[in-house]
Amino acid sequence: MMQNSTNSVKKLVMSSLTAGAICATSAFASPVITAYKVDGDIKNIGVESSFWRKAKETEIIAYPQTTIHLNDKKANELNDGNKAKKIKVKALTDGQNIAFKMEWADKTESIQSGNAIKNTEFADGFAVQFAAKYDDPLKLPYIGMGSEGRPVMVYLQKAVAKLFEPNGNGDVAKQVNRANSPYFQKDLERFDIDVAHLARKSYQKGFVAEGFGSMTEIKDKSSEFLMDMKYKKKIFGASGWEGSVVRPLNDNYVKIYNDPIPVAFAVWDGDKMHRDGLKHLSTWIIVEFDGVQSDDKLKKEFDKPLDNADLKNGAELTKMHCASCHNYGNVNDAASAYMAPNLSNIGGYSTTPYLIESILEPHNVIVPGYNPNAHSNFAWYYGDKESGKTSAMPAFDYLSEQEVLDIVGYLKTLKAEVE
Amino acid sequence: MSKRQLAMVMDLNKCIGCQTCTVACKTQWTNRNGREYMYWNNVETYPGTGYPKNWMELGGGFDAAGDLQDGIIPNIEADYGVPWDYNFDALADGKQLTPNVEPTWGPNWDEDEGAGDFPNDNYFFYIPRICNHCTNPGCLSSCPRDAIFKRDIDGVVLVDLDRCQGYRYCIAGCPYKKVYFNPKLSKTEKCIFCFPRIEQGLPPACAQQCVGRIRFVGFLDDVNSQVHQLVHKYKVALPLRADRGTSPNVYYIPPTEAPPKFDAEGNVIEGSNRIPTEELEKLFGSEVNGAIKTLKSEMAKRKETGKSELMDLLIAYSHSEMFRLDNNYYKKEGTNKLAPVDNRYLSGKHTQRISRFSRGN
Repeated sequence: MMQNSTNSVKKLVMSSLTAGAICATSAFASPVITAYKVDGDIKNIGVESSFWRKAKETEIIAYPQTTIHLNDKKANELNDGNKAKKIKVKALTDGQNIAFKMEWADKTESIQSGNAIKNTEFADGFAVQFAAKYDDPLKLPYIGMGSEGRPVMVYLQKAVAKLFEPNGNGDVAKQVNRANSPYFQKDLERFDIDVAHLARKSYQKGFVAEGFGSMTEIKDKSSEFLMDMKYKKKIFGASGWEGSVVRPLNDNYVKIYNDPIPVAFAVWDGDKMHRDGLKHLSTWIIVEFDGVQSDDKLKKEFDKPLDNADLKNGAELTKMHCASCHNYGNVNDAASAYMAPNLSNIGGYSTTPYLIESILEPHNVIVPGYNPNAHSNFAWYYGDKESGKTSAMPAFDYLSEQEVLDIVGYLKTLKAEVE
Repeated sequence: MSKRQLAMVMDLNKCIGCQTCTVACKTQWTNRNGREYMYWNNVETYPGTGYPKNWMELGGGFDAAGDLQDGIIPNIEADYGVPWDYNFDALADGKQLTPNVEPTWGPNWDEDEGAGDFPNDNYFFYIPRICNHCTNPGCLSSCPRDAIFKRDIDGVVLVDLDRCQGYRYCIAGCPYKKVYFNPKLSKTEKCIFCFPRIEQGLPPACAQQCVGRIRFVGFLDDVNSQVHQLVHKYKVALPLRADRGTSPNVYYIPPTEAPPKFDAEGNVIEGSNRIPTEELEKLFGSEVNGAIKTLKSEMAKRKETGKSELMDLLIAYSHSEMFRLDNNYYKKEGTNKLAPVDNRYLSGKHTQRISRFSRGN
């Protein structure tokens, strides 16, 4: 049974993609970023490096995450009706490392200061996500921080001015409040300086993740990377951030050869209380290497448009088969908003193969969803790692190929307007 | 749900609002950088705004269907109050004593104000509050990073500071607003039920220091513990705002003893009680009526016969009976002492090493 349905997914994806390719108007649905090859070492570059001048800029779109509803009332009010954001991306490689630079508009520079009396500051930030395995373009990790068995590597930088380690790096004496220290005057000033030295000045972290909530920081230095972010105030045009990340082509987590790779991007707006899932994220975007001619499956088969899908029929089928659990756009027919992922922006951040797989083999692409205690009546899966997880969503493998294509074609249209 | 559950009972008839518990906790845990504004234990006046301001109106907890409710994150400047200090050094130079920030709000800004008309029917009482170490914690449920966990061994709710990324959804999710954000660490911190003390057989500092001896500590399933007897046998100890759906594990003996009210002429109204029962029902649910009845009848029984086990319990004769930590329970279980570690993430799946708390070098 499983074998059969796997074959049917492959068959369906292949046939849909072929059909799309035949169509005269066919073009790649998503843009392709080209990594420009430079002579010289890019290991230590930041956003202001002159290397970036030569790289070609590609515009990508990041959509507001609306899959799950988070529980901060004020933040939810601020983010109601968010539009999609444009991000300009450049990529470089020197044969050893790969670097990305992102540029996005943000009217306000929000920095989390680390001031002891500011507990409601949220930082602007950005992240770049790599798929640990991408050999099979039809089975990429779930865009929202991967899924079980399909890990991702995420590099995250936040505009945080100053941070201390909870255990003070072992220096307990410097963790006491200055008023509780045994010092006065000159000694107290020296104490303040010593404490300031213990702070980390930048929030740059590398994580591995297999789905929401599983993100684990890599602290053993087994992955080296460098990030940078700077706010550019402009009198003409939109002010905004520039951010960059450099990592080796190969490490324990992701191996990059000269073939195209999938990469995803996300940005956070501190002014709108963004953090965690409150963010804008892109779908998987293909990055190819400048001047490398390869017959790559990923580039050839990844996310081509579904020109032969009947969107009107897709809308009706979606309403018939999906809307009793999934809410999307103005369709709020589900018995509870927490029953299943909200599909309002699914077309913005999901790939076609992912949507097809989700419909035909939901057990393969289980999204952990909410903390299981938060909405205990609506678990998105049953069982656990040992016994094997079963998605709460049944497989819709009885639909015809054309019906699935129509649904997926319609789902791809579900996304916010671009700002 | 944890294997066992530690619980605390506080007798509100005996709380005098001296804040010794607050200070015991403050000096033990929250005198460090970034924790200045935090009171893991506070004592507030009821009726009053509480700490943080109007915490009961800030959402969180669960509805009847069991769905987590949206909540609001209070602000230090407006809702908790910015802690201030004085320029003691400058006094030596003959200067005036001035605060370093203009005090505009703080915990207990409205202490002892209460409600009603003096002297006819004014009233107030104190509520000491710590983290309720709920059976179904709102903070745990709202964490998208699985950073908050409930220890299986005793049900204490802890934050894994390695996993915490400072998103602050836990604060919105807690209906008691007893989780705090440390801006200097960018992590959440909260009452830990003094677990390093508990594991050594000592009660939490707030309970040990309480001069009114109002706090009982023990395991709910230990039938010999006074906590069990007050909660399950006599049913006189009730959880605070149980309607928020988190099944809290701190219980309160409702305040039953208040002077009678006066009429317009200043005469005592016989049989009246200044504390309105509706207010107690709001805090402790309708079960409070049964609890009050039991307390009153046991008190009467004691007066008549000189005997009442419940009154003996509430007199709190000795610490050794009030704090029953089931001697050697932790030693038998062989816990990971002083290591606040969530076993689910003890080793990193993809990394060789995840940093953990160490004693330093």
